[in-house]
Amino acid sequence: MNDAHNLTPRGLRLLNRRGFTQSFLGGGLSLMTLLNSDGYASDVKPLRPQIDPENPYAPRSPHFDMPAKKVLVINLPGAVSQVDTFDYKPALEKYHGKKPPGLPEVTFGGPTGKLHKPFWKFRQYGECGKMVSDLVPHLGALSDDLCFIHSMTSESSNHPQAENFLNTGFIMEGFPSFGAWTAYALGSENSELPAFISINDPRGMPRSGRNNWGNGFLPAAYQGTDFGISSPVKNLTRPERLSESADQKTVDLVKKMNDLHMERFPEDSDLAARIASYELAGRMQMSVPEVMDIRGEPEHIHKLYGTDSGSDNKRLYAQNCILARRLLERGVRVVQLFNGSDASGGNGITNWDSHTKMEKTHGMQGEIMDQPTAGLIADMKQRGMLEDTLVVWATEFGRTPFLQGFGTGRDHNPSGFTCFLAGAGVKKGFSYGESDEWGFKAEVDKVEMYDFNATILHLMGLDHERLSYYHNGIERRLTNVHGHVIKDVLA
Amino acid sequence: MLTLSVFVDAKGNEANVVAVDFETQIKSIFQDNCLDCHGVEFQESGFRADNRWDLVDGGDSGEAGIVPGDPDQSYLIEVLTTDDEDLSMPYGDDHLTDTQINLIRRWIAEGAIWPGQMEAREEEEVTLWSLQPIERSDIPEALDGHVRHNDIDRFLQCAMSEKGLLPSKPATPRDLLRRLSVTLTGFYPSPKELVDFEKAFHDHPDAAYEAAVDRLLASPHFGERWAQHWLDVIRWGETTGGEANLYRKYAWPYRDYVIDAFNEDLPYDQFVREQLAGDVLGAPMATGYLVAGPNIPKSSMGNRVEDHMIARGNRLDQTIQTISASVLGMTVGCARCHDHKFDPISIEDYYSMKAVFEDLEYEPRIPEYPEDHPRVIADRRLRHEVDELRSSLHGSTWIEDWGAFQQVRFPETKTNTVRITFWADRVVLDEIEILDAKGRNLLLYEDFELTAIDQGRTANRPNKSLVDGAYGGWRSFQVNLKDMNKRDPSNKLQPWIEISFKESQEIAAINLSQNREYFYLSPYDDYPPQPIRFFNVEVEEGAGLKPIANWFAFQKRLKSDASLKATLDEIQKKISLLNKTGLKPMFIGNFVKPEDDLRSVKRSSTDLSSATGYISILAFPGDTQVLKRGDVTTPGEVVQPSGLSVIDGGLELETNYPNPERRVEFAAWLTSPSHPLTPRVMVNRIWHHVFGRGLVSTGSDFGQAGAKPDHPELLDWLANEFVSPEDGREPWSVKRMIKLMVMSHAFRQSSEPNAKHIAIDSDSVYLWRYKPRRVSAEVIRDNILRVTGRLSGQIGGRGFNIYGPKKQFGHWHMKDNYSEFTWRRLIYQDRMRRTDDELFSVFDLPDCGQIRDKRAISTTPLQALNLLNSEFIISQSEYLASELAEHSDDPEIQIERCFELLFGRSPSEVEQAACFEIAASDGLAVVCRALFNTNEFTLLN
Repeated sequence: MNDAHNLTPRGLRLLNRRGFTQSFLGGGLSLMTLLNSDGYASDVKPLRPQIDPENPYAPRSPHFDMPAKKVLVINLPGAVSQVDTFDYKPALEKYHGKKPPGLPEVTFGGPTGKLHKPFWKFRQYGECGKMVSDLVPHLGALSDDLCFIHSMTSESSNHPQAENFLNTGFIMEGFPSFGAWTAYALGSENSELPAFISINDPRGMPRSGRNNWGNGFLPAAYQGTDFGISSPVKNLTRPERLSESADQKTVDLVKKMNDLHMERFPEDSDLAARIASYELAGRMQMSVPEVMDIRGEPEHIHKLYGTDSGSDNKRLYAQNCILARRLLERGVRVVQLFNGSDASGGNGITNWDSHTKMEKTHGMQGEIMDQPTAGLIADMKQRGMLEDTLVVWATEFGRTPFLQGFGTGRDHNPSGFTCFLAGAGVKKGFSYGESDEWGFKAEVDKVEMYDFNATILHLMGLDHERLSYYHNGIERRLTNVHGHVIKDVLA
Repeated sequence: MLTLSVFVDAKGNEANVVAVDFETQIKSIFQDNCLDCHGVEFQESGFRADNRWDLVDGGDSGEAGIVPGDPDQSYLIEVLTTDDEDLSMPYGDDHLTDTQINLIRRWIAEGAIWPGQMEAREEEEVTLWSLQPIERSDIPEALDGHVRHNDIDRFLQCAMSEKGLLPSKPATPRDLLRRLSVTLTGFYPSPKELVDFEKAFHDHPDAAYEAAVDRLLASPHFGERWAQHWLDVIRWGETTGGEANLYRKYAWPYRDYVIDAFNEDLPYDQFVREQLAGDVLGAPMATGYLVAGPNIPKSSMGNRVEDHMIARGNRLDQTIQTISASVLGMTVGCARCHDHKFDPISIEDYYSMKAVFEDLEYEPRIPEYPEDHPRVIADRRLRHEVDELRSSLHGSTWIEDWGAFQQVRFPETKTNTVRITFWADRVVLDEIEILDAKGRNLLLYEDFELTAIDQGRTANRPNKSLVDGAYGGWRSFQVNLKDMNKRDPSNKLQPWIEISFKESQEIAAINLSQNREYFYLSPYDDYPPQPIRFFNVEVEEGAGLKPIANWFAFQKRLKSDASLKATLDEIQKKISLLNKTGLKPMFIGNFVKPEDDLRSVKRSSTDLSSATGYISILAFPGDTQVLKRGDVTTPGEVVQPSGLSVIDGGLELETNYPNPERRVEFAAWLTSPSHPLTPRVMVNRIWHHVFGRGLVSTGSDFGQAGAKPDHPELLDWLANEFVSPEDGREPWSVKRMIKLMVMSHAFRQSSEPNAKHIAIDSDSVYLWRYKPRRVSAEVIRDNILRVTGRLSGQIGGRGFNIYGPKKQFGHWHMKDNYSEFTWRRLIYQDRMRRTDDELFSVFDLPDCGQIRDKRAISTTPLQALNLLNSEFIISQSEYLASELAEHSDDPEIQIERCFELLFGRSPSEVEQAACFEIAASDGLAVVCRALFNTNEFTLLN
């Protein structure tokens, strides 16, 4: 539902005018009409958001009421080892150095080696008594607020495809991301910032790059806008060689010309939308620098997140964590935060992909991720933000409990791994699903990525079967034709 | 009715028993256990058990539900008895009792007698509108009192009058020329063109307009504009996509082919045929069409065999999607895992279509040039010169660097065994070839055994891909001694590769390469293919091995033997000339050729079942099997290559029919004038680009889930006119159809709104006015460059690359999107998938990931920011200002001229005054920047 006070008089008029969505949605709507009149093959009918062409980011109602109004998705590209973080497997200690029957001979990277015990010691945390490793002690300390899923599975053992699968529901590229779907459905509470913002790791983009926040076939307005502390929004500010007054005169002249032109086409919502987009751009030019400026954050906040770290990678990631919180505070609907980039970073440690020297590579990555991420969640909690914000911590797949043949690292493992949820609508201090005794395969309450995505959409008040968009012959969904909401993790 | 039959029980005992009676014994089992999910109301998995016909046909899996007489082949029995939880039926925990299952078994064994349903079911009539034959619709009676230019108007005005709508008055000549010019060429008319046209129009409006249409259709920019529409549909891109997102360095010749085809008005049926089989139809570049979509390069696929089989399926699936979306207008891809949910396309149809393209690979190939092509001549001449130079070195050993590979040459030797030992810390090979004196790769023709010893430490890839004649899979053999923490310095063993022929062979040279795929396609700045060094080649002689070519010895000789060095330098010069001017592999798809039959036997011996096998290419010709549920691990029946069965797609081809001919036959079926889809889909596309909305608004889906035509009679009349023109002119002419459409009053009328009509038809579906529309990214950018006088007029050729050199597993990053080298039309901007050009990506410029039969029109603040603040806009504003200053010293005339260039009109007094004031205080460039950003500049009305 559009809040009336957020609309300009022209927007209100358009909203009332019959058929405005028709002109905006084009073919999509004609199909809906067709399906509704001719009888859709299934009893599940798509729910189309009512989009105001003048303000595509205006807030819209969910399909049903849920506590979560905003969502923070933390992505951990490269694949985090579940058996070295949150999935405690004592059997690995016992069978360390052995190769029991039943484990595969070949995985993604080649021949397999022997089982290896966790590279970090595990200890118990909180009232729930969760066993968490010393690689992620700060997150361990928050165990009572987290909801772990230990039986995650993916359908690809290759990073970029698995990133696609996690964030878009499809292995192949070109499908809308979770953030784009959510922004399309719900708009934003803030009219001065895009509805969906993607904060890249300071070291660069993840393997599948823009596809992780792409809009696919949804309107471009819903693609993630990517910026972070060390990578500002492109073309946000006027070039230096233009004076402020010349810039202002440009904007005024554009407006004047457009107003005169509108007199010829008074009913054209598309032209009105374009005028509105210049106004929004002007507001973004003010609001983005303001939200990016974290210098005014108090000392203890900087300490909490770890921006005082001597390591560039950790300091910049911690700053991005503060930025994520500030964006959510200002009502941005979806914030996606990356901890890890593609593999071209140069110093060898750019993400969680630890094919060699687990202790060193995962160790460095854990040091960067743990404190700032935990600081962010703790800070959101102390500000009450977890009451209406969902937190998703997700890696594209896990790692093998055995080492690679003749190697010192763990290989890709899509058959069983761990992600966690926290915040609005989610159980606290809870663990769902189990992997087998080695932590290799999901065994109890197996969760497919479709289920995971159906669940986070559900937590945002969206029915994953009804949030669809017609593209080239098919009502497309984030969950394709699959997915069941995991009821047990709902608070 | 009771029947006695012989029943054989599980132990093989025969017993005379009473036949199973359906009504009393079977029906209730089905009713109680199956029909809730597989009955009238629901058909889970497309399966229905409430009648015998559907039971026999089976569901989405494509398998027969029951095979009367054969319970063991009946899928129903499988799902009733399986342990597989995902398959087991009935769904849930309740299973049928053994007695019930045995009854059903017996019932099937006895022929599955279902009273009243033993006759064949009456053929269901195909009701989908788009599959009905195209008949020339009767032209409606002309309605009095309306402006009308051709028969299109009669159809539209007839439909309009039923809705109480009237056509609009004619557009002004300026609006009309602007509209026509952008529609046909993507350029706004110049001020002079406008003035000339207005003058001619005043005297003879119809003649002036037709002359303008003919002039613009003949413009070489017409092809550029219309080629982009086609490239959008097939999501043609110049990188692979995926993590490596490899550059397809020589994909652009296909773009040139498409531009030329539209410019030359290549008949559409020929255009389609050449794109499917140009390799044998004299249009080699056209087959770039088949590999327009993305593929995941082998280098990022890992070691699991299934992943390689799935990837091969995905590649051909992209090809099927391309054809079905662009030409058929059907979503055939939906039938990959099960029969199509809405349309009469079966899973067998999908795999029959796949069978047509089994010879295709997403690889570069050397185009089939005519004998007198300059590249063929240069190649032949240079190779001859290399051979002559070589003959002077006869008897010695040397190494040539061919860029893609090293060629080790030595005196011809007869031997059984060749061993290559490496002394490098790091060895990476993608391919080894052992050549005879004629240059034939013996490994593709002779039997041999391969042993590769890498000291058992880093057997990264199994080795068959080393010798399969297919490049890529760059880690066929990889040793990295440096990586090994515990390298034993006393260990003198070095990695080696040995090839033992079954029978001894005359060998003359060996090719070693690290990564030919990268050499031909996409050298990465952090990983250029390295020459292979530090090796020693030995051959078996008598009981032992004898060195025949040693890299170290060769390097030493090169220093001391001046004449060898001089000759070799000459050879290297010829080679680099060859690499430049000779035959070159291009990214237009590769085909396994019939003469490759012998080596294909080798390829098919690649062990697909072995867990450690590495597939670089699948066997040819091979049978195509249905993959049940789309799963490579569950192959089903063998299918013959054919088109869609619902459109008589049977090509009467055996499974061993040569592949190029399969494609030719398939293309002939696709372009038959009586094909119900091909002509309809194309005229609808043309209509979409002329009027901004297709008669069928889902341009690539003419199926049940797509939209129905707004004007079905008009669509069919146009489709018929396309293939059988009434006046006997050339059929399948795209230009003729465009002309027909732009000559109509529907196109020539005003776009002025009309409140009464908007209330009836806000979308102008009835074309009572020309609906104003926003222009695409190309029109904005190309016209900015044109009015500033900076646009290069070069048509065709290699494009420009705004991205910096890319790291192997890194991303393409925008480097420079405004300098002089970018001043060509946007169609020539290298189209890397999944990238942001930081300028027009936010204007719905496709990222080549998905079929785009129409561009979305979105409005985002990022568009405003890019169009206000990018260096491109700022510098172009300055160029325009200086052009205007050249034109006149008078600021008023400058502003006047600026309006003429951008909007095709003079400024009003208010506008002139506003611009004048800013030009005076802040310079004319500020005014230009503002005018580039106006709605008027981006709206076609």
